[in-house]
This record gives sequence, C-alpha cells and structure tokens, in this order.
Amino acid sequence: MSSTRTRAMTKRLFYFLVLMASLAVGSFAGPRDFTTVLYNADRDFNGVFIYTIVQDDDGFLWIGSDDGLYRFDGKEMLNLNKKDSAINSLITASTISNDGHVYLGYIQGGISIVEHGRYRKIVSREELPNRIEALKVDDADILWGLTRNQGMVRIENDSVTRYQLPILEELISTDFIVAGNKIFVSTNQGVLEFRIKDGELIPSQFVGGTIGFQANALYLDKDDKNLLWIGTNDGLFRYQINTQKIKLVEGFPDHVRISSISEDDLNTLWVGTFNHGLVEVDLIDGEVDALTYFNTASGFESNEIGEVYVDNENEVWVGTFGRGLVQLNRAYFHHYELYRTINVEGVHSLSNFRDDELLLATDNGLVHVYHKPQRDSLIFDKYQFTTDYSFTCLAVRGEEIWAGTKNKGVVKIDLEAEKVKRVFLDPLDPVQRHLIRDIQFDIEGNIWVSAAGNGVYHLSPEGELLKQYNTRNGFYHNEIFSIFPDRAGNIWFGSHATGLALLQPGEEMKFLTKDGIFPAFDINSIIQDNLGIIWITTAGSGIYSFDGENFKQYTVDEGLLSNYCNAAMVDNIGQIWVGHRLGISLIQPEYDLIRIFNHPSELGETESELNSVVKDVHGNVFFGNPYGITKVNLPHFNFPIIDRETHIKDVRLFFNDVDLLRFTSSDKIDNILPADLTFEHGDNHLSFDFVSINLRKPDAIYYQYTLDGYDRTWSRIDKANSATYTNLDPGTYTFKVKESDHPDHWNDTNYASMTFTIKPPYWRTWWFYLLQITGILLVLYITFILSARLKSQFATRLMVYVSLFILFEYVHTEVEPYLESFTGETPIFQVGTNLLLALVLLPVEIRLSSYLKTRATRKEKIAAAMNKISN
Amino acid sequence: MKYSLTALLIFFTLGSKAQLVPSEFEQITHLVTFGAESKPGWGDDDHTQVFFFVVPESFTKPVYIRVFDPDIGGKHDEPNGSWDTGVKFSVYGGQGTHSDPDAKKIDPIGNYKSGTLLASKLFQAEARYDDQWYTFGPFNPMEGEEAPELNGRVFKVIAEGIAGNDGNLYKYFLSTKDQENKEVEGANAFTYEYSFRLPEVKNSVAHLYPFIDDDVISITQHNFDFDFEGSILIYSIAKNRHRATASANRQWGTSKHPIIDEEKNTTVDLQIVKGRTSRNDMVCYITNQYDEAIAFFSVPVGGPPKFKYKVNVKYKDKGND
Repeated sequence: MSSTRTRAMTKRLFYFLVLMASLAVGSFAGPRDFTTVLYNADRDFNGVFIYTIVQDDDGFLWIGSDDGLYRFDGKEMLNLNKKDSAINSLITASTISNDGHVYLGYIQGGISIVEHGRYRKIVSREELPNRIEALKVDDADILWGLTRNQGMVRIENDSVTRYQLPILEELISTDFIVAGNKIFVSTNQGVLEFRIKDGELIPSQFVGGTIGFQANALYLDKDDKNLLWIGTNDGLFRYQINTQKIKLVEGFPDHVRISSISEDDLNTLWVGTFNHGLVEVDLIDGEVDALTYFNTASGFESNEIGEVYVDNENEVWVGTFGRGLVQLNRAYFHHYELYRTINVEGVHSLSNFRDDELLLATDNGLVHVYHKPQRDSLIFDKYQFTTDYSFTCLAVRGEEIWAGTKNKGVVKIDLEAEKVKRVFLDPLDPVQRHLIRDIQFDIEGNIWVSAAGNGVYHLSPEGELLKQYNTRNGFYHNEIFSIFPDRAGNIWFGSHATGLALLQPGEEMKFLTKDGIFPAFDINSIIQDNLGIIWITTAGSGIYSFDGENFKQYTVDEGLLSNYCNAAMVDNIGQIWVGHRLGISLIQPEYDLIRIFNHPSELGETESELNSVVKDVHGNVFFGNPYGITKVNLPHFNFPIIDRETHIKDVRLFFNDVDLLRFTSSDKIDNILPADLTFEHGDNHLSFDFVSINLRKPDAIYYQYTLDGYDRTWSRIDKANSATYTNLDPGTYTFKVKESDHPDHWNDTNYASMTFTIKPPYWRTWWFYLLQITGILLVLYITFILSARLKSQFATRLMVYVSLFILFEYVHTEVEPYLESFTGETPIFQVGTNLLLALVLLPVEIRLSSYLKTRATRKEKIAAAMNKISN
Repeated sequence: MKYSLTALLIFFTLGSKAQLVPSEFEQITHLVTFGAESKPGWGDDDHTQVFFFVVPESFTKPVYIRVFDPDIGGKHDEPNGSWDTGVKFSVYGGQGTHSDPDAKKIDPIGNYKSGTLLASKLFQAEARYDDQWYTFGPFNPMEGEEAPELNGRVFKVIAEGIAGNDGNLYKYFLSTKDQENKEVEGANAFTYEYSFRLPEVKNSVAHLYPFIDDDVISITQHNFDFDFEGSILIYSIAKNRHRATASANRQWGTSKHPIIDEEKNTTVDLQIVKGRTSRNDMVCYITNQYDEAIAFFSVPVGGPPKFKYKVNVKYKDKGND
C-alpha cells in the first residue's frame, strides 16, 4: 500500500507543477458547472445532521435527520414528526421496496413501514434494540436490515427473522449490500462476506485487502453487478466480486474517509467523505476518468458528508453532518468568461482537438482548452506564440491545425515547434491579406477555404489548389460565409445576399436561392443532424431544415427566440441548439417544440458569434461569444417532456387546514387523502393543493385543473399549485388536475382526480320535500273539510283562495331555481305563475260559487221541507 | 455525581479551553494502558482506562475524538520485550453511557461497556499511527448520553489492553475538526480512575483535579505503584498540601481525609511530586465516604483551587495578654 501511496504522491506533485507552469503562461481554470441549494430554516428544514435520504416512486424525498423525518415534494418540506407522534426517534436508515413503500429504521432500533400515509411498526424497538444502520430490498423483494452490532434481520411478508451472528457482535457494522446469494457487510475491521443458504447467513470470509480497514460504505455498480465499490477510512476501493481482486482508486486526498457512495445514470459515482467533502468520480468502463471535488475550499457547504443520494432525475442530494441538506444543481449552462481572465476576445470558432480537448480561434490568438488528468474543471491556455494573429475559423485534423485569420489569410499552426506558417492559396498571388471566413475538410480530406472577396478555394489534402470558385468563373458570390461538406459528399455554400448553393459530386453547381428553390438570402451556417437532415441558419429568416426534398422553416412564429440565427449544432439525441445574439433556442423534433433560453443569469453571456459552435466528445455543446464561451451541459440535460404524477395533497375549507378524516367514513387511506369525502352544505368553500414533483425545478411545472360538475373546461395554464372553489352547490364533484413541463404540450389522460360530495341542507332533502307536500295536502284537506262545515261563504272563499295561493307560491319557489338557466334574472317565471294563478282563480270561483249556491239552495230546501213537516 | 448550580456556572464561566487529555493543567505527559499480559508492577492495575467527554448541550456541530499515538510501538510507548501488544479504543454514546452504575466504577467489571458502541479500533504496532493522531467520528453530539447534571452530552472512551505486555502511552483530544485539534468550547473530560505517566524530572508535579460535591464529608485517596518516588499532597481551598499516603511498588497507598464545608463544591488538587528523576506509571482514584468514586476532571471545575489563608485579626489571644 505504501508504494501505491508514494506513486500517488508523486503524481500529485507532478500535476501541481504542471498547474504552476500553466498559470505562469496565462491560463485560467474555469469553475465547475454546479450550484448548490442549502436547505435550512429559511426553507422550513431544521435538520443539521442527515442520516438517510431516499426517494419513493411518487417522487417524494424522505430525509432522516436529527430534527426528525421530513418529506419534500419540491415545494414543501414537511416535518412528519409534528404530524405523527409515532415518529419519535432519529431515523438512521431508509429504503424503498419494489412496490413503492418506504421503510424506516431508527437510531434506537425498530423498523417501520409507511403505508397509506401512516406508519406501522414491523419490528419494535424492544424486539430489535440496536441502531439500524442500513435497510435494503433485494431482487426478491425481501427487506434486509443491518444493526450496528446485533446482526441482521430479514423481513418477508411481515415475517421477521433475526440473524444474531457472533462475529458481527464483535464488530461495528456500517453498511451492507445483497449481491445474489451473498451479503457483504462493511465493518470497522473490514468487509465481511456472508453466503445465504437455505435461509441461513453463513459467514464466509473477510474480503481480501480490507482486513483491519474501517469500511463505511458499500455500493454495487449499476452497470456491472460484479463490481463492488468499498468506501473506507483509507480511501475508495473497487472490488471485483467474481475475481476477488481489489484495487485502490487513486486521486483521492490523503486521509480521506469515505462515508457514502451513490451513482447517477451517467456513469458518475458520487462519493461522500467525512472530511473532504464530496467527490464526483467520472467513470469510463469502470475506470476513473476524472475527479471533481466539492469541499469548503471550493465553496461547498461542508466537508463532512453523512449521506449522498442521487434521485430519479439524477439530482444529487448531499446530507451533511452538521450543515444540513444540500442539493447539487448542475447548471444547464455555464459561461466561461475569458476576457477578464486571460484577456481573450471574440471566440469566432471552436474545434475539437485530440481526445477530449478544444481549440478556440479568437481575436487574441489560439486558446487551448483541456482538463487535468482525473479532474474535470476546464483549463484555458493561450498559446503565446499565436497572439499576433486574429483567428476567424479553424479546421483540425489530428495534430494538423488550419486556421483562417482576419488579415493574414490562411495559416497552419505547429504546436510542437510553436510556429505559425502562412499558407498560400493561390501560387499566382503570393501577397495575400485575405479575411478568411471558413475552412472545412470534406469526407475525402480535401480542404475548402472561403476568402472574403475571393470566393472559395478547393485544395487537395496537401494544400495544393484544385479549383477556385468565384464570380469570374461563374460562381454566384465571392463572399461565402459558410461551407459545409455533408456526409454524402455534397458541398453546401451559404452567402449573404445571394443565399444557398450546392455542389453535388460529379454535377454542376446548383444555386438554390437564385433558382427560387430556397427562399432565404442571408445564410450564416449549415450543419447536418444524425438523420442526415441539413439545417441552415439565416440572418432574418430563422432556421430551415432540408430532408432531401423539402425545406421547412422555423421562425419566431414557431417559438424561435429570434429569426437571426448565428450558429447551430445537433446534440447527441438529435435536438438542434441554435445560437442567437439574444440567447439560445432548442428545437425538439420529438415533441415538435421549441424552448428558448435567454436569461443572463442562466447563460451568462447571451450573444453567440457567427458560426461559432462545437460539440465535444461527451456531447456538450459550446457556443463562442465575444468574451468567452457558453457550455450547454449535455448529456445531463436533454429537456425531455416527462409525464409526472400529480398528487392532490390537501383539501382546505375556507383556506384553513382541517382533519379530513372527519369527512369520510372510509377506514382505508389511499395515497395522501382519504377517499369518499363528504362535506356539509356549509363547507362549500374548498381549496385544493396539488403538486407534481420536480425536485430540480419545482417552479417549472405548469398545471391545469377542472371541477366536473362546475367547470366546463380546463382552467388556464398556470404554475400555481392551488385551486379554490367557493359557494359550491350541493352535489357530487370530481376535481381533476394535470401537469406539464411545457405549456404547449399536454397529456390529457395523465391527471389526478378526486371525487367528493357536498351534502344538501335539510330543506333540500327528499324527506323534507315529502314533508312539505304532505303539509300542503293537509292544508288542502283541512280546507276541504272546513269549507263543507263553515256557514260563512266569505270564510269558505278565504280558505280556498289562501290554500291556492300557498300551493302556487310553493310551486313557484321550488321550481324557479331550476329555470334560472332559461329565464336568467328576468321575472318571466314569476309573471307566468301569477298569470296561471289568475287563470285558475276564475274556474275555481265559478265552481266555488256554484257549490256554495247549491249548498245554500239545499239548505233552504231542507229548511223548507222541515218547515212543511212541522206544519 | 451531583453538582451544584454554582459549580456548574463556574465550570462554564471559565470555559474549558483545553480539551487535550491529559490537559496542560495536569502536567501529565501521557495516559497509560498496558497490555493484558503485563505485570501490575509496571503501573497499570487493570489494563483498562475509561474516560468520559462532555459536550455542552448548546453545541450542535459534529465532534471528533482524537487519539494521539494509539499504536503500541515506536516513539512514545513502553516496551517489554518485542512489540506484541494490542490496545482497543472504543467510543460509546447513548443511553447508559455514564448513567449506568457500573460505568462509574473504578474497575472494568459488570456493565462498564454500557451505552451504544459508536466506534472501535484495535491498534498494535503500526508505524503509520506512531506519533500521529487518529480520529474517531464525526459524532453527532445528540448521540452522546444526555446528562442534565453536566449540562451536556457524554461520550465514553474505553482503552483496553487486549494482548501483550507493552505499555501504550497516548493522549486524547475532543475536537471540532477531523485533522486538527480545535477545542469544543465548554467541553470537558473526566475519569474515575486515572492511569498515567508521571513527569520524569525530579521535583516536577503532576496534578489531579477531583471535584468534591456537597454531600462529601471525607475522601479517601488511593494510589498504586508510585514506588515511594516522592510525595502525594492534597491542596484545596482549605488544605495546604496535606500529606497523603504514597504507595510502594505494586502496592496501593491509601489515606482518608476529611472534607470541610468550604471544600464542598470545589475542586481539590491532588499533587504528585517526584522525588527523583525516573520513568514511572501509576494509577489513582478517590472515593467518598460511601466508597463511590469521585471523578477527576481534566480541566479543573471552577479552576485550580487556591488555598485560603486564615489569619485571626479580630481577637487577641487571651493567653498572651
């Protein structure tokens, strides 16, 4: 080990000397691409010591800290201790099962599961009174737990099996992984291997090379299940399980103590340490390619990292020990300011160079861009022997560098000899002070050079003139701004004022604009994407695509930032990045969308130089600016449109939080809210809180919602995550909400919904209606009975008419609300009812009069008969 | 162990700045633990040393417990034949760390390893740790045992001689930093039985600072294997170097001393004065009248005692009239 350390120290000394030397010749190390977000009391997070971080399938981030358990949805940090008294201890371990449940382990022992928003003990503290160091779920969905020094526990379908292994009782265990039928446990005396056989754990051996080491973290590589990363107090090791070979990863500082290991989807390990902050380890084929350090010396929050976690969207979460929770944001863009740092202006062209380096053609010479071995921050080195030249364009082939200048024609640069050699394009014209606009190599290795005012020179790979294209020999223009040799061997030419021309192999030159085929006149640059489509940027007409048959135009009407497009580049997934003076546009053919980026705080320098763009070997796109370069951090960000699940988090009454369990009779609690909510008629002011989890940019989500039974359409697009409805009538409603990353792209089938009922008041219940009708019938009946007995005709008439009025008024009052949609606020119905009443009164009066007269006549006859009898 | 509020206030007013154990106050060079196979006559009666560290309740940052020269071999340690000794350092926290009765005993018996084991490492003859600091941690202060009587949280470090017969000389530091000694303000360290190396030079004085709380009426000092190499004196606010019984080779020396009211809730200075230049390791502990061990604090609580002279200036002695 000591010889390894000696070699490591020698290497570090060498790199230090290289850095010192580079600083002496005017170089600059650019800052890295991340910003950090610290979660503290300002963000409702009071945890200082972070023990565990995990994300569930819904996207919620669960954080176990010294201040208890938190759940984060991108907007709200919810302290669950306050809501649930079952959580009353530090949570030191967590994991997600294959069916999405969260399991929690506690500092004083015990394991719980979070189900339907509630916590249920699976193993009590009394059964397992020892700190839970780690929880993992294996491929068979069996939950394994590791205690600090009382062995392991296995939970399958709520059945708990304890493994009290004497060897583990002598040690302090820190972490474990399950790899097939083996379990590896890191301890304070090395990494132990166990075999799982017939439900038993059989100690096998210590992993060779780890005996006596304090091992703190284990991680099974995502791509290679035989590769185990071991974090110890003596550095990071990679262990090949099948060959049992172990190797120290070089490049880490002395005395580094690894605490946690995680990995993102881009082959990068994230290594937390107890004393040297966070280390980003870029891997290629399992080997370390670059290391980037995040520590207090570079402005990071803390050197003491307890837990590192990479979430579903490759965001890195860092739980520190003493400084809380940090979210590492990789910026979409990064601007490297070169004017103030190495006195360089005007980056007119960029080119890939060697394996992973760049060359910049600037007004102040040639700049070399690279990173130190095993470090990924960029170094910018100006070649001092080139500072007398203002370069305009570059073409690089291996170590052969062709450069165009502002007033010295074409040169070839020999870096080894530190010489700049003039190239004479035309042997007949040795005095050349041309401005060179473009240089390109075609697929056969020939060289094409555009010289201002002199058209295009076609040279052999050795530099001998093959042909010159200018207006004297029929070419369409002498000012060619862009030359592009495509993959089929065609040569495209773009000029200002005369547009596009094409030279196909073995054919005559075609002047596409002149012939009316291509409509734009001012061409800035030409590129070709992965599918072979040609993209042409113009000054004033946007950008065109050409699929071999048809041209399609994209302008500001389609969403482009500007119709003046200076440069364009295709990224590795076929999206087109377009540089403007005002910012950058992104054409996403997959979604038929265009995104724009133009905020200075996002981009730094917004202005893109003409035809100044390159894509490096990793897929990052660099745009040249007047005072530096802007890097688009690809492939980390492809800006996909992701369908996310929207969660309806809460329902509030009159803006107040309420216990929703009062409004449901369900025992089961689904997801976050109870089901079958039923409110009283007075509780008809409802606010719905919802969220779609985007931990990286929670404010970048758009929402639309609707209330079936109330709204006719979806609401307007908004970023607010709350909706309020007031004075809802009794009835059953369904609230729906959907989300999107982009306001022009919606998935109408992906929405969250919840159904609820507002009960009618008693006076609108069926039984009350029945009671009313019964009452009215009773009134009519009483009227009928009394009218037969009353002697006074006036009283009889009064009773009948009052009953009629009561009946009509009741009908009018009950029916009118239902007709409001027809009548609005006009008193049509009331007038109609009164008219009907009046019409009814006449026949009633006729009948009543007839009845009373008949009754009176009968009485008289009876009285007369009685008189006659008595007489 | 009970402390009055006054004592605790004094304790924090002075702000124990030095968390090196042994501290500058004690003038002791190293702590000593011998291997399990060593003879008691070399100065260690039980091959175990238990130290407690108190982190103030108000301190919420990570702490580290650092051990200087934890290996057994090389520059500082005491050889007996070849270097064949192993000493295990273990850090404990959580419930029972100090509150368990066995934790406060002078002998490593019963449940003296109470609490939750937080970290542990076995050291042998390892050159890379020789004359170097080894760091345990970081620890969340909340992982220590809550001790309201000390207004802080307690961690325990046990150094055990596992094998061999060599002597391990080492020091501790409670630090806020991993790679440097930066003190935790307001912290302190204490032990119930001190096993240490005396300064070598003749007339040099080592100090031990037990804190006498208010229900102590007498103390009994016990020292082991001093080899009669000097004198042991008790110095306090009321005792001006009262002589205590020193011990012979492989023997215990014991003497009882009454405690008056003025000495209660103060620190007493047990001074060990070398009578000749020599290398000597010894063990000390003090008990109260209940035979309960009294803690020695690395930073004297309330500061080192100052003897208060009493001169009668008010009344003339009648015999001399």
